[in-house]
Amino acid sequence: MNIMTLNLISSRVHYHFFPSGHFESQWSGCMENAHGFEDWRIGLAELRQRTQNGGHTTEAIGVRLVHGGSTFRNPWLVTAETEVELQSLSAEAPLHIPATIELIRAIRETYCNVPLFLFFETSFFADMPERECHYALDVNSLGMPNLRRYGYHGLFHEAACAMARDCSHKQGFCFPERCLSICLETRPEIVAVDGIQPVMVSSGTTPLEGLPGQTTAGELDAGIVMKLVRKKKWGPEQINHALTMESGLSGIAGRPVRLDEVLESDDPSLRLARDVFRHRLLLACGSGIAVLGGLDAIIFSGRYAPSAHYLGPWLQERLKRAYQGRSELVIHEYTLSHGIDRILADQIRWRPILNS
Amino acid sequence: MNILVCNCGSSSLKYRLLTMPEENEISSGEAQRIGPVTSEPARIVHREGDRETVHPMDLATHQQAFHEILSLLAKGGKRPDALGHRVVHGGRLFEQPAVITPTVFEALRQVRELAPLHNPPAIDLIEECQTRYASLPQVAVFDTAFHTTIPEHARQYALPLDLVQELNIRKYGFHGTSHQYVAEEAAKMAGIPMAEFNAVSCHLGSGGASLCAISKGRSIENTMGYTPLQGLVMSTRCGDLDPAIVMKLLSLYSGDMDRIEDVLNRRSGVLGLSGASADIRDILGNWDAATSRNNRFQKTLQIYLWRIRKYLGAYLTLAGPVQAIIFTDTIGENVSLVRSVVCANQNYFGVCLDEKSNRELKQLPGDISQAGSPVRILVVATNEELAIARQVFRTLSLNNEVKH
Repeated sequence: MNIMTLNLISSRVHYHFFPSGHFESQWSGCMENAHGFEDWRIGLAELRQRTQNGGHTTEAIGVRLVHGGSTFRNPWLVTAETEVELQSLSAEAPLHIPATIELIRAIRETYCNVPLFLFFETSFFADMPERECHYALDVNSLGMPNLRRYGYHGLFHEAACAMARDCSHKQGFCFPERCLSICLETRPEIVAVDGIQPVMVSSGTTPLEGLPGQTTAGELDAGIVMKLVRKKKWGPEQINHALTMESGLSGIAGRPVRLDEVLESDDPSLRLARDVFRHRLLLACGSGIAVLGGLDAIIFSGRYAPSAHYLGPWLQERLKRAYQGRSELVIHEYTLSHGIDRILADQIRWRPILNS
Repeated sequence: MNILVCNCGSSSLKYRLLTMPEENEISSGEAQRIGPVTSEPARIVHREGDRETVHPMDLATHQQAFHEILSLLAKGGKRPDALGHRVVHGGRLFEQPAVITPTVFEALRQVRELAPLHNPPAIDLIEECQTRYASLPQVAVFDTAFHTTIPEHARQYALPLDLVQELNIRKYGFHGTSHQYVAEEAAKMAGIPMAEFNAVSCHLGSGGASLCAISKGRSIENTMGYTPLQGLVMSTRCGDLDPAIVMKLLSLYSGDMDRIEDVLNRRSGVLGLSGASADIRDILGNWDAATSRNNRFQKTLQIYLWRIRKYLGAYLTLAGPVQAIIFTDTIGENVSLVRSVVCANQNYFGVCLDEKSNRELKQLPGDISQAGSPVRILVVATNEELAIARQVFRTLSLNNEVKH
């Protein structure tokens, strides 16, 4: 099956083409200077032409979406009704959903009869326990009845955990029941997975909460946000810009930095950023072990997954130091090296429900 | 030396007169409902030994309440030789207890607004005492002081450096006086020198609550942060929150910060979740309802306990291997179910709770861990006033101001 994957990031569409029989994409790119329906329609028409010039026909398309709310709990085959269903989520993700709807329209117009599948980062977390999802707020009286915690790298976590189960089976180990899945992306995220069910996630109702990212603040005292309003006289947009674009590891380092650079470099100017990240990650791992009642495996994924080579041994050493159980402790470690495009293509290839 | 410890709340003044260094209590009590007239009259509940007397009276300010307390003590022939004041937030200026001098008082003014509910009444009372009782040495003891040992990487928020420096943004941590006191008591119980003691202290009050990770006797993490709003689910405080929610509220309430502060500090937490009570004991009291399905009480209880459990695991990892978990304050000392649930299935960390000892615990301090548990689970009554008195005595001794 010839598969095209599309990923909308900050109004730029990234594409990958997987001809039948290829697990890795054979060509890829990004629609530069394309913003909105008309630009995307033109860009997609060029993509279709390029595919045809190469002697291929696109047989399935997969699109990654960040937010699926509580509606989209599984991968979704797009139909005429899907647009209306997505529109109902616009209030929850006002920057994301309207643009996504325009992209879907452009795809359907360009690739009329090609099956189009949506994959939501939040779906993996649809059945997370209530006690983890909810904040200690009276959400109804605040007028936010749907406010809850989501995870934002569900596709990575799901694929990484499946890979770990597969590897452990091949290696003759027991099924890793209690896993910490650590996604090393620009906005990193950790999830505690019990069997195949996520029970704890570091992200919040938005990806801003949790571990510090390359430019995102992560966990903050709400009192700090109130201080910014009172003392700096900042409004929501200024605060949002400071917390999402100027904070995180780059904010600490005082210059733009990448997560892998921070984790792997010996540069003393990055020491504090690295120590802050490791500290927050260690705390989150401890929380995960507490809610899982133990630990069998740590699984790394994301574009910076190769940094697990540096982070893994440190983390194992710290987690083992806290161990005072009776039996010998064995923590397996796995790394998923696939990019998000490969994960989308695999989902289409392997999900029987989608192929039926 | 008689030390009178003053602990100012927003509308109360708790006090305790102790002889030091013997640590004998002479009298204690609480001035209640200070400030504007409420449905019940203001009063001072005064205790000497086993005798408790209630004195209804107008108490417009903490200063007035303090004068009345001194009068009550004088009637019993007691007078203090020194005063100790609990100040909740010392900011970056106060990392140790401080003898009050004109210079120190000026510095105190600078931290006044860091804890808007608690610091102003304490600082106003210190000023009054400077004027009217100038001969009495005064020492301010700060809740944040114990946490000044939190390492840089743990107290740093991932914010732009210029913003951090401009607004002095960092994790301060709170309940330090209580965490330090119970940790010292627990170390004694365990027979381990404080300098070698690793523990997690759980100060679970009926109002505020925090956990503290202690390594080699020093605080290395606290669930509260820049303000006492962060961390656990508390009676009316929300604890941890996605910062984006505050931004959402800003838009929703058209920038009305008073309203947002009110929601997050006074209408959230156990009260916001249950819609019925701010006291988790009321939720637990209705256990049948709390465990039935689709019940708001059940959800409140689960979220409350889950958050403690997550932080307990985080701190057991950070300070690990630990020698003890310590429970203290109203909930920590009195509610066995909370201790049982948060310690359950924590074998990874060597935490083995003895359910029977936990359930039947009558006298404090107590040990509720199983024999052979690598981690001892200790329940210790907090005594912030005694802890403050110890620090006042130590500080005055160092300054040669102690008269025996």
